[in-house]
Amino acid sequence: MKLTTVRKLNKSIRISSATIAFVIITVLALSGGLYAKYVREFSFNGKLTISVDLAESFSLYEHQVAQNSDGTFIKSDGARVVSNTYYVVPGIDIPKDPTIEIKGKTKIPALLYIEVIDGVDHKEIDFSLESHWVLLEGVQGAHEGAKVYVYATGGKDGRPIVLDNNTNPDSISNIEILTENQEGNTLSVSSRAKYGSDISLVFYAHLVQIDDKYKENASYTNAIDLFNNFRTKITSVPAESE
Amino acid sequence: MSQKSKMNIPMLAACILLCLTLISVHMTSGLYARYVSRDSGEDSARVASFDVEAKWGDNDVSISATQEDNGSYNFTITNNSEVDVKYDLVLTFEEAFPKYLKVSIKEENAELAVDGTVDEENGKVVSFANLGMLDSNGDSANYELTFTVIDIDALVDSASGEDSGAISVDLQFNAVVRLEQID
Repeated sequence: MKLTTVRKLNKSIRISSATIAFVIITVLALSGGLYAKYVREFSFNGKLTISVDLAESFSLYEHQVAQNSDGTFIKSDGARVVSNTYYVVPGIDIPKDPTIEIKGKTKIPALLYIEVIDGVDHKEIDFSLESHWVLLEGVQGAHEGAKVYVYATGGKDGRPIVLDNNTNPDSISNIEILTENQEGNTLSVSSRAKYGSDISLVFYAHLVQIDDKYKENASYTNAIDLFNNFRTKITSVPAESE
Repeated sequence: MSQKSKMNIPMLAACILLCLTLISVHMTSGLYARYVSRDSGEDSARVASFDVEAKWGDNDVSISATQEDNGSYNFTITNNSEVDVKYDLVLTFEEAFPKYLKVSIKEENAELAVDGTVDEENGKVVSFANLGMLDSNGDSANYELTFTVIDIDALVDSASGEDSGAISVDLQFNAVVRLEQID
């Protein structure tokens, strides 16, 4: 075969291939175009903030106690602690002033409860609670052996005190638990206290939100009901003495 | 004496051709009466426009679960295209969508809201497939996307700092509205 003939044949083949490729691409493009659709996306960034106002912050504290060289105790006026440890001897007074502080007004209505775990032999150390603490008979606290009290206007027939925006801030800045005696907030250790006795007195505090129905009709009964079925609560750190 | 006339053949052929030519001209010039019908057509094509929009309201929404249990975003979808569109909505959260929350969507004036479907694999994607359709040339729809706290105890449990008196949870998400031409 002549060289010129071969060249012509190759050129013909190249042209044919290009033509076929063109046809294929065209067909694909056209068929694709038949199914093309307009599509557009819009993006948006959002931030969702969910908050629950349980109540204003509050704390249960007592003042730090130091022991003198003669065995007596002295209360600090400044330092606040969650517990004190005492090594007591018969016949002395030990300062103890567990106090609840609600910082500012509560945003939502709430009732204030305390739990008291009384591990004290009252023949050795006697104490009583302030009259604004009303015992809720038959109510089991969240802690084993604890008795539950609600902050109230006083007496078993008293109404629980609803803490909300209408509460006077001064009245909730320092809510004392123990009754003051002549020496102030002290516990007197009996002269008959036995050597080696373990004495434990623990307090817990709860703020429990209330619904409007409780707010309008806060009573001893519904204070019990609320404590047993509270929706959300805040528990303070314990004030404890040993 | 008789005289025999001779036929001029070239002249005869020329005459015949002239006659045929005249007949042809007559036939093609319209002088010949006949019925005539004419028709004409014109085709043209233009690419239809695609002009859609999705506008959102506020980026940040807060729910104070103590006072109310839900908060909403509002957005509007508008179709100014020359084609009808359908659309869906997909929400993607940074973390798994919490179980104490529900998200639903409701078109303005609609009676019922539609709950989102949480992706079971990663839990971060909530979708509203086939959310709706809009006609061409200016049709629009207003939507309210609502987050509802359905279990406040779970919400409280999920947050730390319970003793501080208040808890707060932030949920970041990306929402994509996807609009597609309908055939």
